[in-house]
Amino acid sequence: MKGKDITAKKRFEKCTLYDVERVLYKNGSVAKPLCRLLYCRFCNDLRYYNSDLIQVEVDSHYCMHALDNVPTTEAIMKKNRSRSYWQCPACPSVLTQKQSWVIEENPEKPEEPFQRKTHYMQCPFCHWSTRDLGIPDAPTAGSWPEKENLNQSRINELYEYTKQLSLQQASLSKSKASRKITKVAGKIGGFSPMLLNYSMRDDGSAKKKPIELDNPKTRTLEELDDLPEEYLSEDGLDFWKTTSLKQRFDQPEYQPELTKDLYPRRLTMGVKRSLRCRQCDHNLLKPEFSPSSIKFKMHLIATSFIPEIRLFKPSAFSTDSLSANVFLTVTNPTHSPMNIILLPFCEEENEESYRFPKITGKIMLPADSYEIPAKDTLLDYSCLTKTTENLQPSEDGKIVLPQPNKIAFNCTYQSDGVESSEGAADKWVALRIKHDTLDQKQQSIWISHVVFIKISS
Amino acid sequence: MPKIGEIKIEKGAVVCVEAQIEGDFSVEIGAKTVIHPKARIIAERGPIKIGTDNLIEEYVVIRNTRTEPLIIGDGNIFEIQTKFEGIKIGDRNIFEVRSLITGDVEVTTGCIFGIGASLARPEIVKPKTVLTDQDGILCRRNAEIMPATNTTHITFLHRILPNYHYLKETFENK
Amino acid sequence: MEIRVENCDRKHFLETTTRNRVSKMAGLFGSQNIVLSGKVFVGPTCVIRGDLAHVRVGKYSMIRDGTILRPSLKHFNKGVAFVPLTIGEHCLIEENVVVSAAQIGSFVNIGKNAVIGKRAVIKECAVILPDAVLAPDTVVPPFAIFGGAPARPVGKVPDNHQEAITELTTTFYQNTKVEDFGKGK
Repeated sequence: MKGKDITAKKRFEKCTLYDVERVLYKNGSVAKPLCRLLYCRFCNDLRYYNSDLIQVEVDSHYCMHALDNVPTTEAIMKKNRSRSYWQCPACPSVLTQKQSWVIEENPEKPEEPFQRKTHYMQCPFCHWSTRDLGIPDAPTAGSWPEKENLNQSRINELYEYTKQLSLQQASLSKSKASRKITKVAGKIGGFSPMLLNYSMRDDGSAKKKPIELDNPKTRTLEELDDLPEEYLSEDGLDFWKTTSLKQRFDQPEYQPELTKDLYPRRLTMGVKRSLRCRQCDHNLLKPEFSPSSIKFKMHLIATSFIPEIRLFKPSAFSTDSLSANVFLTVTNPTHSPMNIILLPFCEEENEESYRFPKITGKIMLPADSYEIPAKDTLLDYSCLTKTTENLQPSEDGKIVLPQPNKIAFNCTYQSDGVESSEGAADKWVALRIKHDTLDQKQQSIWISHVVFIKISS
Repeated sequence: MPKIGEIKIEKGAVVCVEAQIEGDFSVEIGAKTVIHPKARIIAERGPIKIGTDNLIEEYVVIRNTRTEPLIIGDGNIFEIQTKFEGIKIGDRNIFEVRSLITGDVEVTTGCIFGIGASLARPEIVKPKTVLTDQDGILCRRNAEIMPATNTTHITFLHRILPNYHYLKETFENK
Repeated sequence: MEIRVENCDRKHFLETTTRNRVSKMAGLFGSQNIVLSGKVFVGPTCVIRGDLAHVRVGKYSMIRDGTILRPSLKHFNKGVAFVPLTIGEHCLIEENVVVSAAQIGSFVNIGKNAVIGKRAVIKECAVILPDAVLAPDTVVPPFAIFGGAPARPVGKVPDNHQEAITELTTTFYQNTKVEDFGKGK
């Protein structure tokens, strides 16, 4: 199967319904597609969830398999691991859901056979089962023994030490920022609810010196051990019994080397998170509490406020691929008419241009400003049957599409003439789009964005 | 659609009419075997003998490209879009969705071919081997236990498939 | 790029009374158990096994060429039964997918050549990457992207997924509507 060489991560970028990586909106020092950005209506600016201006808060924990909510305290106690579901250690990250049970006959009296239910776990993908380990079957469904971590005491020592250190630092820093964080009551995940309680109490315990950490000293080895004999023997290693690297690294605490030591691990929990703008302290994205619900309490995503630019059809390049005919569409996602102004792009001086796509040419726009009608909520879908192939532009270069809140226009691309060594490199252009929108006080304001568009095929 | 060559289906086998059993050589199907519609059994250059209790699902292609008879044992499961062009199959094997076995492969008993697993080089697959395809890499493992039998599955299909499909004619086993 | 959908060859499709567009070359077995809720597109060489259990497909869903919808088997204490297969609205199932799931929610996008294992449950707004293999009994939470073989979570779906897939499926349905369709049962 050839297609499986590509890693899942690379394929993820091409998975979306339309090619989202073609049109990138600049936000601070990153350029991202519009569907990944959020819009803060209070600051009137775009936000990217991975930047400093967004605070991620954990709303609720849920089990990824049972899709039921888990109280936060229980999640912290169980270290974000599920209470009843396990993961197969042999094939990466697959649930061992199949808890089959077998009725065994144990004759206590020879005439009356005694039937007992036993449970064993089996992976539905690679058919690994707990019987491969030699563990006796569990009498009840949930009673699988936990494996002990040999390094647990050392980890506990380090954990206590860092907790003491952070308490000290939190009490010392009496800045406004730390007070602001404490207002957000207990919503930050991990062990910080306990941290918040401590810092708010502000008692004398933080002023004590932290426990001195007893670090093992390094030692130099004069002689190294010889290789074990099995490496040098004629048969070599028994590969049927050794684990693969992937299987070992999936369990970093144990790193079993033999397949008979591969113990299943508990499934990690999923988390519902809400995003908050740091500047104005308002929630931008807040999901519903139920794990299987797709609705949101707050859903301020950029695609519902900012006009989206897309390529209408593949650009027609000239024979020397230095110029092209480009068709762009602009969609108005709001319920009121929107005016847009398109401006050419100019690079700012102190910008780190290496993070953005390298611009290879200029784009000539037919006209400056357009007005796009509002989105029609009661859209009559029969209007979409008209073909969009042979539409002629009107006077100002605007092509009216069947969908009311979308316009298209034709522009020409002129390459800068700097051909890169690859030959068929991606061709990017940039432009600025300025549009009017209503802010919190219902007044009309103008916002501008820088957009990078990839026009090569 | 059968061309030339005898097709002997034992009494008790459930073979849907939309299954394509073709080829110039004879095809024997044992009792209690279930063949779903759109399966293809092609006796191209040699006869095929399928044992009892087998389950052959849609779009399975079992092809005999050798002059020797291809013998398939009892209790095997061939899931959707499997392709088999090997030498021999034993009993109680499971061929999961989209597994490809081309080349001179002899499958013994209790083997499991995972989803998308493919074998092309000549080989004798030892009993209770599990071959899975993980992200394009074929992984092998020795299992301790035999795969589960499919008798309940087959009895259920025997009950409901005749309600919806016409079946091919069966012959009494002489 | 704008969502562009290719038009299909209109001569080979039948339109039912509930406005479903079914290809003449699709294999629908046990059609009394198959419920196509309306405006569903079933491509050529699809196979829907309604003879094993109930199959229900929500409105505006697209089942493209070569896909097999097959209810899966579940073992109980007292025997086996086939679990009915329900597919939600506005789903986009691409070519050559083998679906043995128990339940697929609405607004789901399943990529080409994927294999959905038996009794799987895919919740709303999920995306399954092309060539993914879902193990049997997997549960895909909402807004998850699953990929690889065996499938595991690799990302989060963009927030406008629901609107985008609604637009794609409704546009596709409208683009295939022309007077050439023959009337079928």
